[in-house]
Amino acid sequence: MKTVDKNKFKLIKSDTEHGINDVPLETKQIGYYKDAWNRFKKNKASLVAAIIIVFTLIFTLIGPYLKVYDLYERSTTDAGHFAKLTPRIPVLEKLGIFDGSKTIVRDKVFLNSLHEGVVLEIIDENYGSLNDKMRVKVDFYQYTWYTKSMVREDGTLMTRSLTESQYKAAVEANTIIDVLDITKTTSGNTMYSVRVDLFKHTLNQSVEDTYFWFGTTVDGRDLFTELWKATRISIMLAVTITVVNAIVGLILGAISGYYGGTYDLIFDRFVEILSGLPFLAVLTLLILRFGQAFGVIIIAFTATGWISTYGRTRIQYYRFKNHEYVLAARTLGAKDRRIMFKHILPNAIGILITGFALSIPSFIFAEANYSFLGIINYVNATSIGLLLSTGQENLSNDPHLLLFPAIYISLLMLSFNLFGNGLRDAFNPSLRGVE
Amino acid sequence: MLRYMTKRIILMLFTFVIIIFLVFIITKSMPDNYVPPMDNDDTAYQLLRIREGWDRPPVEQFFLWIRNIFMYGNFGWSQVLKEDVSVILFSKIPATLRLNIIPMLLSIPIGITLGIIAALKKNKLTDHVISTAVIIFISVPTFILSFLLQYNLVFRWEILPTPYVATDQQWLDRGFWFGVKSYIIPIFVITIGSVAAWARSIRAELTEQITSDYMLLARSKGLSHRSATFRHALKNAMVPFAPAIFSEFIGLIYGSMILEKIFRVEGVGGVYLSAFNTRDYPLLMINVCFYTIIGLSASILADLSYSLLDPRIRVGSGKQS
Repeated sequence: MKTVDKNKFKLIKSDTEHGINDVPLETKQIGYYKDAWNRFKKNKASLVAAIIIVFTLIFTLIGPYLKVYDLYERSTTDAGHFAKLTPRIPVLEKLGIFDGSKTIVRDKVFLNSLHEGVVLEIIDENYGSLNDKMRVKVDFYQYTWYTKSMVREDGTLMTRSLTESQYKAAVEANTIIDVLDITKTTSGNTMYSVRVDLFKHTLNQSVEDTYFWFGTTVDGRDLFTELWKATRISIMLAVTITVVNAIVGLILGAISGYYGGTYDLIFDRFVEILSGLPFLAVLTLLILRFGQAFGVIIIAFTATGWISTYGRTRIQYYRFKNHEYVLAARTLGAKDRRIMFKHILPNAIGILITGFALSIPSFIFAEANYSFLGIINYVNATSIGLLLSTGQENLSNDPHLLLFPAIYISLLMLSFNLFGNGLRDAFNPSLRGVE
Repeated sequence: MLRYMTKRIILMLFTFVIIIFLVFIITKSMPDNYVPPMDNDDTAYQLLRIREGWDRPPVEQFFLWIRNIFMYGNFGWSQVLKEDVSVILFSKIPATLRLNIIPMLLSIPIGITLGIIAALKKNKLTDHVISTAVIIFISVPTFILSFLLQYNLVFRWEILPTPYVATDQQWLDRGFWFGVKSYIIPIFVITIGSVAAWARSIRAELTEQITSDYMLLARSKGLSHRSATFRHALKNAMVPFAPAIFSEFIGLIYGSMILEKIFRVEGVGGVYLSAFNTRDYPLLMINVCFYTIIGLSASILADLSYSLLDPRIRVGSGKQS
């Protein structure tokens, strides 16, 4: 049909009074998807949600590369010096939020010895049972600089031993603050006991130029990078699992619903048993048996995950298989496979697409839940749940560790739910306004 | 009706046995699931070995396990905790119940009321406020809400004394009010989550009922919108919810693993996690049984009450279409 040139068609009008009086259509044709898109566009909340989702997807791809920070991989001890830094964002810091400040309680004598500009505000001058402590708001970057390159929190000098070559490199980079001692070891090497500027020495930038947008984690990784790494894993798994579940559920549901009869009866009993199996049991048993590889997680989530798609598809096929248009197609000699996927599927696709859109957030949520509980615990990768769980442990002193993962997951869940609702209303006009 | 019910229950038992059998065999064939032989003189060890058949094939062990349940009321011996697993599990149920029962009693009436209000004032300001709140509280995971409250109420403003639920010892040491205060955050969090869920589904169901034909009839014979809604639509809208209320009662003992972890409740969820972490297979097994039976009975109860409330519905019976 598609190959016939449209110009060859001609609208025929008969001249008689009772003849055909059609006029050519002047409006543009609106197909099913176009119609759905028009309705979707009207729902502003869903549209915003869709934009947020697209942004998240883009960021999961580029996010980990936006900021290259591999100090932890190079040296865990060096990274440890930068642990739990508070968030500091270039423009926002001028407004007083995310300016890298932190409220701490430390010894009075020590706090008074700090140089100008470290202590921003004294909140409580007499703190602790002996009144020998102070609660103050400090510029935590400057504070870290001081404690990790000048004087430790216990009052001793922060010295490091450098070898000859390391010393020369440090002199070259101009990172040395002062040299305290030079010793000759028995093997004839010269050792330099020095104090170095931590930020210049390990990060190669001054403390004023150092910005960790979301702060750093307990072991000194950049939270921004970690968050996007975790997101990438969870979204990639979510998409893979949804696709697998969709394909398996669609094919099995179509066959079951279309053919019905004995096959359906037997297969549905099988599904009933499978769906009675608690998901938690499937997940834990697979993990205990086969470990924490990504493949195992995918298998666990697909083992029973396809059942909901299967159920929805099956019902749709039951509903449509006796409609006239299917009968017409069959009369014209269409094969079963053609009827199933060319004729019935497009009618059922709206409900199915909505189901897929909602299954992505439910996976992300489940993954965050189980990794928070420690059931899912990837070998060499982080996860949202892990970030949340360490965040909760440090909730009282370092709320930023929890804040960003929490905002991320809340926003994503909200977006996906709004998007799913919008999609459902768009594909199913009779449901409009019903939530 | 009776025939239908017996049929459903027998089918459920059948499913249950198959699931339990499968899980049992899988658990038993885990490579690290064996009991290291102890000293031969250890009478307790010998007794348990014979009773549970640790040196027999898995299928035989399954039948021994079933026999032990009926003969001794014994669900298996935890090698890790040195106790019968059923004792461990059932001793944790009260803590979970204590946490979940108040939210449930609060959330059902509040949720249903909000849902009805939203449906009656559809597309007006009240509805928009309720619906927005509902979508927010449904989307934001409950644990995020818990963290927010824990941080602000406990650490920042210091209104509440502790972020966690009081232990038995703390109830004694710190007094009654300390214990009550420690339950405020968890109860609030659980309640608000389930209020949102109830309100959302009630609103959806009721708006669908309000637009149906019998409402038009009710209006045309002179009933006001409000009384038509309460006399006709509400009854029909409640059909799916009565079963949901039943299954929620069953789900009470289920609890929520994640909230139990956040608030350090020594409940059922914690048992599962510790079984997982210490690879305590007998304990894992009874947990799976427990979850399976709760899940299955919740679904069967829902089906049955559907049929009781609306005789047109017979889930899973005969041919449809």
